[in-house]
Amino acid sequence: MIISLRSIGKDYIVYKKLRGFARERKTVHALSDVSFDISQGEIVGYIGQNGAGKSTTIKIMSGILTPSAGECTVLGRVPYKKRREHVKHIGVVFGQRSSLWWDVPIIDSFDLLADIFGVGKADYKRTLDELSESLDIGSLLSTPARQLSLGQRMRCEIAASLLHSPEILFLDEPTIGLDAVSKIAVRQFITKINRERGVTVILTTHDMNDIEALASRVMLLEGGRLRYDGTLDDIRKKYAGDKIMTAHFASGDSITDIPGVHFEEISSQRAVLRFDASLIPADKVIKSLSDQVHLTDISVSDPPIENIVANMYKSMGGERDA
Amino acid sequence: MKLYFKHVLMHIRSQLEYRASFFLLMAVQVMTPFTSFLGIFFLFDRFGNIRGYTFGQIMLCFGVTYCAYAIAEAFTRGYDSFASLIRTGKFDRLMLQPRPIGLLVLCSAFEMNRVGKLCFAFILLILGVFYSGIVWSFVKILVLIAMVLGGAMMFSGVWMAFAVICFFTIEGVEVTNIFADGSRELSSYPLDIYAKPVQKFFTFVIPFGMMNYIPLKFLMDQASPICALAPLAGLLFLIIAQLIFNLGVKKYVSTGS
Repeated sequence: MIISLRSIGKDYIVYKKLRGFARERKTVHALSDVSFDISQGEIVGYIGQNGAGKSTTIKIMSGILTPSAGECTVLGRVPYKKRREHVKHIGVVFGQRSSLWWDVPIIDSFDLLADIFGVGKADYKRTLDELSESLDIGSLLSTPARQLSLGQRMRCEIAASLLHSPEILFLDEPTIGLDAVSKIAVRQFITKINRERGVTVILTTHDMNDIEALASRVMLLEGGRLRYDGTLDDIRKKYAGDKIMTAHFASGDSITDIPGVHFEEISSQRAVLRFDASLIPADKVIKSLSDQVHLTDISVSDPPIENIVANMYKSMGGERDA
Repeated sequence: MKLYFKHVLMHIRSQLEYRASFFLLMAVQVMTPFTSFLGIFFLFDRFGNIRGYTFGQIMLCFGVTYCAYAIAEAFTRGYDSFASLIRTGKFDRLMLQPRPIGLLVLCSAFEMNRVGKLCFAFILLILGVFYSGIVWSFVKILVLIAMVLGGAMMFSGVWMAFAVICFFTIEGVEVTNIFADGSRELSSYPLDIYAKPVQKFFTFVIPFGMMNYIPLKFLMDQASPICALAPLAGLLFLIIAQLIFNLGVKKYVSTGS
């Protein structure tokens, strides 16, 4: 296990302003009783709504914060006790906070970072060549960060976090605000360094496509507690019994109700149906459809993962209020 | 140390990207000491001397303080603007670099445009050297340099010590300016023109007097040579401030933002 958390808790004390100078002291549990292990070479997607405690966990694992309870070891070290030694072995990308200098060429930021991390000349040159090749940033290195597009900057940002060849990479919303092409480039690169260099990756994101494309394992945090830890497929099975069927049919035909099937959308040539496959099998639905109309095309799919996760959040939110 | 100068170089290059803004800022920066100095000038124009200090001597005092302040501002701006470092999350980024956090904060800012202020203060200092009527010797020149450096350390120390406040509240930073800017204005004059409690505060609590008034007395041959060592207090103060700061960081790490 290269990362292991044992019943980690983190409390913040906030003061709620009352009228005048009076204030009320309140303890907020940002994290409670979070435990998990991550082994070398995994890609873990860390999801949860805003304020669920994702960033707090990342901060604890990267040595910026000390937890109020529990134990955390990363690569055999307690990160917040051995900060300087620890951060040499990890790379961190905050999607919304840059580690690049705004006004000077990217390469100068890189040089300085290599110095700060004490990377040897030969190692630095080799890593830089590799990174600029695989992230396709060779031509951007002489440009100041402020002149780059968001996608270009994010690629440089990721390169910056890998200059010291860390064993673990934390990515906090790496695809936020990126266009489709840049997102795919970032994802491909993450897969690549994971496969080729065995870098362990922990990423937080709100984009379920990131998770689908990258993560073999998903952890879901809600209200400071770890509510789910497993594969994305299991989430699907657990929370998504429903199937979505889209049927195209010859115009002029009409459809009447089929028991156990909910019509999401219906027009003169197209219908979108939702049904629970454990109650009514797909072939029955297709049969009753083809009895009524001339089907020209048909497709069955799972509901979008976004919807599934939204449903999960909702059901958990309900528990929290209760 | 090498790392620090690399950072300084980067800051200078960054700031020179915006030349017009850079020179304007530099000009504006000169205005603060200039207006303060005008005040003194008119004061002397009217009264001739203050408590037996001549215009030249005050100019020396003023020059030392402002040189120290400008140097401190240029080099330790990271501590001076610490609140924004916390607020923007840059501090968290610094925590992810494998170097002592104090050094990283120091590296995080360098203000080239303070050069204007420094030049102005330096001219006054030189004028003060000639018009103060002090008989100069090699030792006295050394003491004068020590006064400037000690003063710079002292200002940095104040920022550093008060930066800790930012860990707990984003607001209360103006307190720092009361001490730093207040001390600057106050110590632009020899301390003995003030009331006794004020003198004591600035000799023992925040020992700006050690930088300025006490060694000035030595330069004027009015005090024993032991007073020449007073600027060392600046170094001591800086070390204490650094300790306070490190304690604050520890506390921050365990409490969070």
